[in-house]
Amino acid sequence: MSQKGKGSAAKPGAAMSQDALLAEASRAVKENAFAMKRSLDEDKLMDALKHAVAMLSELRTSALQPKTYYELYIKVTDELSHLKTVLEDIFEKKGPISDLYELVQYTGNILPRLYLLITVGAVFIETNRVPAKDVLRDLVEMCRGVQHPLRGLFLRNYLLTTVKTLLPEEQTGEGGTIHDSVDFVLLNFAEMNKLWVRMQHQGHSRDRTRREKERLQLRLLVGTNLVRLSQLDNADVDMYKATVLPAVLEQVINCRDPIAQEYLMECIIQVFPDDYHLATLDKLLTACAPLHAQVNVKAIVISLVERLVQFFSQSRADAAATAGVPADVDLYKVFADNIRSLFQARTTMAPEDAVAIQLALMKLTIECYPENLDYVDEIFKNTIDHLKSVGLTTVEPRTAACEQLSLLLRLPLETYPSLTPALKLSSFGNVLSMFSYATRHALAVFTAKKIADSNFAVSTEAEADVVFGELLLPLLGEVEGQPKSFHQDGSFVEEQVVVARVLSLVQGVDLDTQAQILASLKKQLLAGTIHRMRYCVPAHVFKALQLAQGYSDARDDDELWEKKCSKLYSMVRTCVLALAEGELPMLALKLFLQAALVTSTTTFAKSETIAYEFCSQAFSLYEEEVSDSKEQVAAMTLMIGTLQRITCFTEENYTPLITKCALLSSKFVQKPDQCRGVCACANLFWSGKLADSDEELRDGDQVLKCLKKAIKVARSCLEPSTQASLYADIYDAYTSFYIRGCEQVTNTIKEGGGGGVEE
Amino acid sequence: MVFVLVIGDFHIPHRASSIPKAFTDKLVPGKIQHILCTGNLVTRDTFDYLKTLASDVHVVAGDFDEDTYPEEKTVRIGDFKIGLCHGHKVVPWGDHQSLSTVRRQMNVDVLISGHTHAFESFEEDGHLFLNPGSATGAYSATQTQVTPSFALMDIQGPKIKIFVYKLVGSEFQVEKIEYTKGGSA
Amino acid sequence: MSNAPVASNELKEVEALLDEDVIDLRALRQFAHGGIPDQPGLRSKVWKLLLGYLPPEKARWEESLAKQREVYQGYLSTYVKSSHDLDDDEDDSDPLGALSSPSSSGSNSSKWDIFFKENEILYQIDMDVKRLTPELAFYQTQTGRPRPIPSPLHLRVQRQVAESATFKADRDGVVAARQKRASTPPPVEPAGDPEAECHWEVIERILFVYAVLNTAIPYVQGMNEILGPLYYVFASDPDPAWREWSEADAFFCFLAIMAHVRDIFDRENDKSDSGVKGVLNRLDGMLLAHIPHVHMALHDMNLDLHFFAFRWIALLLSQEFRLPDVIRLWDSLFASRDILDRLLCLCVAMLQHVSGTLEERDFATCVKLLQNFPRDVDVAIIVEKSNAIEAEVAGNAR
Repeated sequence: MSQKGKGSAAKPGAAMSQDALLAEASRAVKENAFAMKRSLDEDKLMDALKHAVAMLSELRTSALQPKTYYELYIKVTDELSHLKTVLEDIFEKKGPISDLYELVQYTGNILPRLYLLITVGAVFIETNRVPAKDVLRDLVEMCRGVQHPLRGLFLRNYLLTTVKTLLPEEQTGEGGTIHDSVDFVLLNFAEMNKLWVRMQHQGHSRDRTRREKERLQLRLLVGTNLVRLSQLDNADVDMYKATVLPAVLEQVINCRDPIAQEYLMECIIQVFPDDYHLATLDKLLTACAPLHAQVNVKAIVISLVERLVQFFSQSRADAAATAGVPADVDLYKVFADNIRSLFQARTTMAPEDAVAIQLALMKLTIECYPENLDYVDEIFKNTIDHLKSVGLTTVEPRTAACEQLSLLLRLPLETYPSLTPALKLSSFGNVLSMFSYATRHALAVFTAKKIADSNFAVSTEAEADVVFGELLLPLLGEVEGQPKSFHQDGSFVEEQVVVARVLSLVQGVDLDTQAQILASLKKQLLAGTIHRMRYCVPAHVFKALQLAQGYSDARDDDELWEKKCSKLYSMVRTCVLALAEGELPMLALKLFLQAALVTSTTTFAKSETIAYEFCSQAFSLYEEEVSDSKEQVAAMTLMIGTLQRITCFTEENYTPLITKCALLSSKFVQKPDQCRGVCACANLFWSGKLADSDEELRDGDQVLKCLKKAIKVARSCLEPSTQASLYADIYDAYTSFYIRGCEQVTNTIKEGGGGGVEE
Repeated sequence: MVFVLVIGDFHIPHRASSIPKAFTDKLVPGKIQHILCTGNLVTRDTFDYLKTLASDVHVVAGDFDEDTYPEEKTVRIGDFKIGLCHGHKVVPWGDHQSLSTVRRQMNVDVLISGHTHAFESFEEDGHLFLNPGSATGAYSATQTQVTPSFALMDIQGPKIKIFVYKLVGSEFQVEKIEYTKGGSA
Repeated sequence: MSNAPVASNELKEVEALLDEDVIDLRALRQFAHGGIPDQPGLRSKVWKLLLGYLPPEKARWEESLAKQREVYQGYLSTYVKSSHDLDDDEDDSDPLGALSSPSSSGSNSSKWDIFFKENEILYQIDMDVKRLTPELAFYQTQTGRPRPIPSPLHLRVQRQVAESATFKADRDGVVAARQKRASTPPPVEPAGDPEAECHWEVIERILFVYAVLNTAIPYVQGMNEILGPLYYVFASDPDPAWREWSEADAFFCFLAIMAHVRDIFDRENDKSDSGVKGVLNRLDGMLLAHIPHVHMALHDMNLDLHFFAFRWIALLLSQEFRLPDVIRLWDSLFASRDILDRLLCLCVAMLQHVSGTLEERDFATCVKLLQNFPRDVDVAIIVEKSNAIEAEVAGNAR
């Protein structure tokens, strides 16, 4: 035994650097290894063993930190493998040295002795000299003699790696069976775990952080046992369920050590195959509840769920029918029940962690049971219940809990290919009520975009209730908590356009449903401020007008259709008036004209009255609210174009309207506008139509009157170029009525009474 | 060869939610040199979309546009002087004779107008009149069934090949119309 | 070029070489490596020989040239279509391909599909050739030859702005056209012969033909920088008989050069030894072997070769020096049997030249230095240094 090595081992580590210690020990190893090899070459086995013992004694040191000790261990075991090879050679050629196993037992010190025993034991198994199971049991028991954590862990690691390929894996056999191997590894695992945990309780408490770091460096040594278990042939799922997992979990739970528990749970999840987990889900999840309070149970559960989600989506992608969702277990139930007990057992869990677990479960549920919306609803409910039970009634924006809960709410909207199933969920409102305005608003924008971009048509009242009554609520009207200057926000217009797009997609499964949806939307829209109405009301109005036309088209199927149309028109009137009152007279005027036009096409008893009402609303807006001269011209142009198209008026209503157009046109601020306005009005007297006739009006006298008025206006124009251009326009008008066969105009031209047009 | 997209009357978001995907799938950058838009885009987004398809975009104002586009425009492309207007000021709406008058006033070879939400093309006195219809198939009080449509003109010297794209249900329909300057007859 | 007057014995030497009925290529390579004298028309001829476009047997020149030039003319008429060529076609498939389902396309793509796809490449080429070495006015000048195709190729991708006018009633109500927007960028061709074209158009056409023929790696930015100087040398040949065919000649010589470096441009499939990774690895190995101190300095700074050497190699150093120096370096490059081998030796020599600065290991300074290699360096020194390296490489190989 090297005195230097011993000396260094006796000294406290602080005096020498780890590098220096390692260098010194390595030199001793090298020297002894050299001597060992030389003895082997000279066939002096006993001498070789002596040198081997001296070399192994270097591992007795207490001065090295795990990382350095590991380097030394690698050096030593490298050399040791040389000894093993030579021994195998001797056994092969000369037969066993029968007393070798006993011989090394006389080695004075326990650590070198055990390393040698393991080496020699392995050679015996390999050469089939003794039953493997006996040697294995012997070795794993004897290793108990080393109770120093670091030394013990490495010794047992050496044991595990040396016999790695020698473990029996058959169901039956004289040398041993798979059961023996499983018992062996389980025992080794249990012992290593104990050593590993014990490290935590050694030395000064002020070194705790360093110790924890060192333990993390060593965790792989413990985990290797589990890896080995998962690799054993014939250790099937039944054995895993009956023997392996219970034994491992027992160690995990009983050690009460957070580092060990967290690592080993994670290790179990990652190391064993998916179908093993499926068979033992309940056991595995149940084991989470009693874990140490410092253990990150959330991470463990999520890691298990995500593994399964990946497994199912992968197997579905591969179309492997055998690996589908098991029919005999309800995965959701298993998880949900266990999560519930987990929450009960672990009252200190942060709310965001609890939501994160539910989020993971939601992923699994949608993956495995896409049809079962009750499960999704239940997850929402359980989540809210749990949050309330820990005293959380609202989640503040930008907190982790809020983040997680938003994700939970979005998940069904994002994952279902169509929104239809997602909108059947009844718990959206409950979840939304947990959020403050900012989050609800953000979620509403997200949902609105999702609906608009996927061209999803809200088609039932139930869907409308969810979409407009819950999800989009903060965008459709004013809600508590919204900022005062909400409509000045940079993205406000963009958001309202998206909402309007959602509205324009609404398509009830039948007309009455559509009417119901629109009626409840009306209440919602009119309760909001004009800032929103400006974008949403036009979309809503066009939907209502379209529906009225729909009722009219299907008049034979529904005897109440007139009543329903009247109701819709009355709704349109209310909505458009709201725009007018909100100081959007031009928009209101245009919509009234559109409404009149539609009414004219849905002929029924009251349609003329209603159309007249719409027109007169437009006229009074024109007279009372439109003051800008350009807007007046634009509005009147539309009124003329619309009136020309409306065919539901009797003469007593039509004549005053079109006469008024001509009158108002002649009152435009600009002369050229007056001139062109009355020319346009001439069209009304010629090609306008009355309700009781298919013929155009063809009132040539009035046409001529209009044109003459135009000439009069043009004549009074002072600017020659303007005048010329107006005459040209009037000339065009004359020509056009001449072509249409207006006698009065023709005569005037013949008489040369064009009044200056020929100029 | 010059490709000119003729498109308009989107009415997003008042009467339609978006341009049909079948259209946007085919309308990609790098194919079209000019866009003539008959108006009623309503939102700025639609204009921005057109800008991605071609850098040269000409738009006139529809009755529901709030952005300030001109009311009428003439555009010279190749051998043709083309007039563009939305058409809500042409009374009676869509009337051939009134459109003919507008064409004469604008002194153009081709007059493009919209507003009726129905595709139409006709020749009068050797001049071409084209109405691309509504790209979104937007609802119209005066048109019972609106089919989404637009047109692509391929201008080659004195000739225009007009490809009309319509979406009937989910079926694409493409028609071809040829026009030669001065009248094909 | 402004170098010192050519030593007359050098000129005599090369003229003697070229005078033989069968030119001794080995001797010519050796000579060219030392730089080809700036005698008008000389380099244009020697490069064609070095790149294997002209056979060493003079008797075969005429036939070989005629054949190749005819092939190129064929390419022009087959592949270079203007949009008008498509118009008169009887095929009336709709330009947007609305009726062709995306799945059925591919084998049976319409003329428009192909046209639009080619336009994407042409668009990139067009932008790049218009940017070619702005300090050299040559590319913007007229060739003096008629355009071999009916209409300029770039019209296919030219952004057009139609001339337009807005109609609006003004204050007095006069409807008048106003806001004339004068439009289409004024025609680039200077007044004079409308058939004439500029040199950049020729370069654009060559690159386009190359791209259409090489669908695997059609066109990558940077190829223009290789073709540019090559075409410049050919198109400035004083002999009109050569000059007239500079387009076809440059095309084939470009092809010969690309055969050596093409894989570097293939970023999609960078697995082969001749791909970027492979070539940079080779350069790395050479640095380690020949100038280990520089290798270590780069390594210590974490200065990846990719930061500068990709451009050096892919563009044949055309961006690192002034045009006369680039042409001088290319004499040496083309004189080598393996352009890439010599190119790497030159790169090592360049790094060796600035090793002093590199070894100071200031990352920012070094990156800047290597991305803007000092242009006042005498390239003759670089070539000389590279000779030593090449000799070592050859020695190691043996």
